[in-house]
This record gives sequence, structure tokens and C-alpha cells, in this order.
Amino acid sequence: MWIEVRQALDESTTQVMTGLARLLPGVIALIVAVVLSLLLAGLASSLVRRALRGIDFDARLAGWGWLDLPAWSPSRSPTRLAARLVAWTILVVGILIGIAAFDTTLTSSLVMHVFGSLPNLLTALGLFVIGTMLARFLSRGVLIGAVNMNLPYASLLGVGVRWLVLVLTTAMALDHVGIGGSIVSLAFGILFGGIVLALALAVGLGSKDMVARSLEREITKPPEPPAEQPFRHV
Amino acid sequence: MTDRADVVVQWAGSRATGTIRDGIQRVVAGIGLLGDDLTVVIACAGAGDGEATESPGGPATIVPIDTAPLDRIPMITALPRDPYRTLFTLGRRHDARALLMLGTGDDQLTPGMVASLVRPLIADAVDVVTPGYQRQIFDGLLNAAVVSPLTRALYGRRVNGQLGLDFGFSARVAQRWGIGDEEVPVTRPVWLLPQAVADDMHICEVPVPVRLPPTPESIDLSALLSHVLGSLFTDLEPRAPFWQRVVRSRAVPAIGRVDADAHATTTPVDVRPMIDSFGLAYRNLQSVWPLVLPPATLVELKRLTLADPARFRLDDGLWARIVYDFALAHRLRTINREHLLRAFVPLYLAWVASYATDAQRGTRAMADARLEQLCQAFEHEKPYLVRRWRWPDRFNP
Repeated sequence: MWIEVRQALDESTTQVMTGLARLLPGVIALIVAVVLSLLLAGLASSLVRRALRGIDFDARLAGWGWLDLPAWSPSRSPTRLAARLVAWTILVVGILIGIAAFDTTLTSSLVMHVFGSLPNLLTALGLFVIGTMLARFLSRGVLIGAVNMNLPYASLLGVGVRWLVLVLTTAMALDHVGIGGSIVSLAFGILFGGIVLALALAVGLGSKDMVARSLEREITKPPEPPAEQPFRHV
Repeated sequence: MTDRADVVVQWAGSRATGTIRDGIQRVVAGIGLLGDDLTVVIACAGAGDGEATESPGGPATIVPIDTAPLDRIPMITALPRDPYRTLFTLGRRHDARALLMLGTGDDQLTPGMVASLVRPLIADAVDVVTPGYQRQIFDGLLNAAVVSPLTRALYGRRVNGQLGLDFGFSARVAQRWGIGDEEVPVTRPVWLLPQAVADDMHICEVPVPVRLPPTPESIDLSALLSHVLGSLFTDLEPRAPFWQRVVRSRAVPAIGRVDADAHATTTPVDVRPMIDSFGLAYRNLQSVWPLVLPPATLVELKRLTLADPARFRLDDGLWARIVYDFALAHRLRTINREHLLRAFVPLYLAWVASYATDAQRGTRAMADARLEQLCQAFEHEKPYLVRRWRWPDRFNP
């Protein structure tokens, strides 16, 4: 019996060791691919950073109208953002190459899946980035306009506009990627409608008396000539 | 071959009370005050419609033109059918000794005003004549708060009437300006003085007994500031190497005299709404102003919001630094330029409130002295702008 047990142990050990020996080149290949891609990513990132700094990319970008990009970049520098994007792309490609050394069928199906959904992912990412920039731009414009109109709830308006645009673009991005299905549309409808209703109620209830007084004044009082403005700005 | 003329006048003023012919006759009478032998060409939109096809007599020739309306609120981009370009082209065509852009309407235009604007060009070899309009204490506040002190500090010439409508130019100016690329603006009121200084032109200021009309109600304060300051700040960028070398200012000669009432006072004004607007803006623009203004300035502004309205005073040095910070943010495009300039409105209202509190109980002379202090503060703080312009990231107190 001990002979059979020993034989079974030998066989399993041999199988495991054989399996490990088969995996070892793949593991080494993965490590080499990752290390090489790390080195390459560092080199490419450094080159991109130097090249973009050489052409004063950050200032040029501002000149081309990309005003919000610095706020979304590491250290407020679009140059660093571009360098990191290049580095991460090389690193991801390196990891995929390393995984391919293990199992070509796994990698090919993974790559097929990744590249198949890449256009949708990129479009969704683009939608989200544009939406975020638009939200910031519009909310700032509304905020400044409301302040110049002396509206006491200027901040509320600015925040409301920002969240409306963000919710809209997030729903669009999720819908594009296909995450959530009809739940996203439903949730978006409820959320969007809720925000609009909340804003309408906040403004409407808050200024109910003011509107009533204004209407009453319009009805009872004859129109007055505008007061003489003593200030001439130009 | 085109006839030679001594003076070319482009009259672009409004016609509120009379006909084109009435206005043209005043121009001719004004030139007549300078001598009988001067020949004059008068360019005027609508002059060819039969109303003024005849010369009013004497040595005047009337030319119909088609230009954009003259506006003292400067536009950032080039105007199609630029009225100044038309004037300079006419001046070159007629080989004129003096050119006059007249924007004053026929309700205020007088022969004496025309003569006083042209005389320095012919008699004193001046190149650019700027108008010194009659101003009440609360007239031309944007000019007094920003345009005039900033231009004086940067370009070193003390001229008051920059957002004007009536300017005189010599033949030398006509030969140099308004030539070449039509996309390049020839002259905007805020551009005129810096360009004249950069071209080493002889400048003088002539008192003009005219009060500028108020801004049309269709233009609100935000839009007004956006146009004027946008144009002014845009012009700073290409001239930076020049104005960084200018150290101190000097007065330009004033030719002529207007009997202004130096003791005129004004009725008290209510500055509370402007102070309230500033306070509201301070509370709400905490995501915008810190992008433009350094922390020390924000601390000063916070102190101002806590001040008693009766003692509301915006320090001249602080105001100068605020203007410089906005000019720098405009250059660096820290935020969208339209947003930036509109975020300046509450700060400008704070300055108006501070100035009005000081000036409303004083005389015109006291108000002038107050504005002179402001101009000196702009000159004193100029090194701050130069440092931040050269090293925007390193110097941020």
C-alpha cells in the first residue's frame, strides 16, 4: 500500500513540477515583458515630457482654448497628463504581451474583448471629459452672471447647472458603454427630473412673496420713469 | 489726380437736431477760424443722399463715405469698414496736413471745438491730439478707474480722455497707421495712445467743452467692462517689451483752456447697493477669484466686506494690484476670458463705491486730486505687474 501511496505522490509531484516547469518560461516572459515595458514607458514618458516642454505645450494649449484641461491634469500640467497617458498605454500593451506568453487563447479572447469594446469605452470617456468641462464652463458662467444680476442664490444656480450637465453626460456615457441598460435611463429620468423640480421648488417657494409683491406693485402702481443714474462709466 | 487738401475731416457724429448740412457748415466754420486759405475735405456717411451734395461754400469738398459707426467702446476684433482706416486713406489721398476724426453729435459740435482740435496739428507740429472732455465728478468712471491710470503707468504719458470720439492726427500719422493688413485694427481708443508713444509721436491734449453722452442702455455694465478691458488687456501682450522699460510718467502738453467749474459739487449718492453687490460676489465667487487674485489680496477683500459701509474704502494700491492681477490672468488665460472680465464687475463696483464715498461731498478739484493719487498708486505698483508678468508662477504673494 505504501508503495502505491508513494507512487501517487511521485506522480502528482512530477505533474506539479512539470506544470511549474511549463509555466516558468511564461512567468519569466511576463516579468521580462513588464520590466521592459516599464523601462520603455519611463523612457517614452520622459521623451514626451521633454518634447512638449520644448514647445511650451501647456501655454499653447491654453492659447488654443483648452482652459479646463490643466485643472484635470496632475500638477495642473497637461504635459504631465500626456506623458502619463503614453506611459500607461505602453505598460498595458506590455502586460498583454506578457499574458500572451501564458496562454495564447486566453490572451486573444481578452484582446478581442478589450479591442471590441474599446471604441465604445473611448467614446464614453470622451463624452464624460467633454461633459465635465462643459459643466464647469456653464456653471461658472451662470454663477458669474447670477452674481452680476445680484441674485442671492447664485451659488445654488451654479451648482445646479453643474450637476444637471454632469448627470446628463454620465447617463449618456453609461448608456453608450451599455452598463445598466434601462435602469440608467430610468434613474437618469428620476434624478434629472428631481433636480429640476428641486430647483424650481427652491426658487419658487423662496421667492413666492417677492413675486406676489412684484405683481401687486405692477397692478396697483402707475409706471415710474427710471431714476436718474448719476454714474457714467465711459 | 485727386486735389490736395490742407485738412481732412471725417464727421461720424450723431445727427440729433439738424441735417448733415448743418453739421458740415459748423466744421467749415471751425476750419475757417484757423485761416481763410485752408482747403478742407469733409467725409461724412450719407453725404451723397442729396441732402449735402452741394458744398456749403468756400474751399470745402464733401465726400460721401461708407464706414462702420464710430464707437468709443472699443471692440477687440477688427471692424469691417474701419472708420479710422478710411480717415487715414483719405488723408494720404489728399496729402493732408491735418486729419480730424469727429464723433461728437451735432447737438454739441461747435466751430470752436473743431478749430481747437485742428490748430495744434497745423501750428504746433503735434502728431496726435486727444480730447479732454468736460467731466462731472461721476463721468467716465471706467476711464478714471482703469484705462487712464493703467495706460499712464505702463506707457508713461498722462492723458485723461482716452475713451473719446474726437481725435486729431498729423500727416505723419496717416503715413504710418492704417496701412497693410485689413484684419489688423487700425485704431481703437485704448490702442491710440500706446501706439503713439511707441511710434514716438508728439501728443497733446486739448480741452473740449463737450460732455460725452451716456452709454446706450442696451449695453449693460458687464458687457461694457468686457469690451473695454478685453481690448485694453489684449493690447498689453504685444507691447510688453516696450512698457516694461518705461519707468515713470510725464505730462503731455495741454493746449487751450476750458472754463470748467472746479468747485462744482454733486448730490449725495447711495453706494449701499454697490457695496452689497461686492459682498454678495465675495461670498459666491470663492471658486473664481482665488484663481486670479493672490491670497494677500483676498484677505484684504475679506476685510473690506466686514467694514462699516460708511468707512468703505478700497485702497489705491490694492486696487492697482487687482487690476494688474486681472491683466495677468487675461494674458495667461487662467479662466475663460469672458468669465474673467465679467468676474471683475463686482470689484469695479467696489471701487466706484469707494470713490463715490470720497468724492460726493467734495469739489471737482478734490475728485481730480483723488484720481491723481490713484494714478500714482498704479505707477508705484507697476513693478508688481512686471515681476508677475515675467515670472507668473514664481511670484505669487
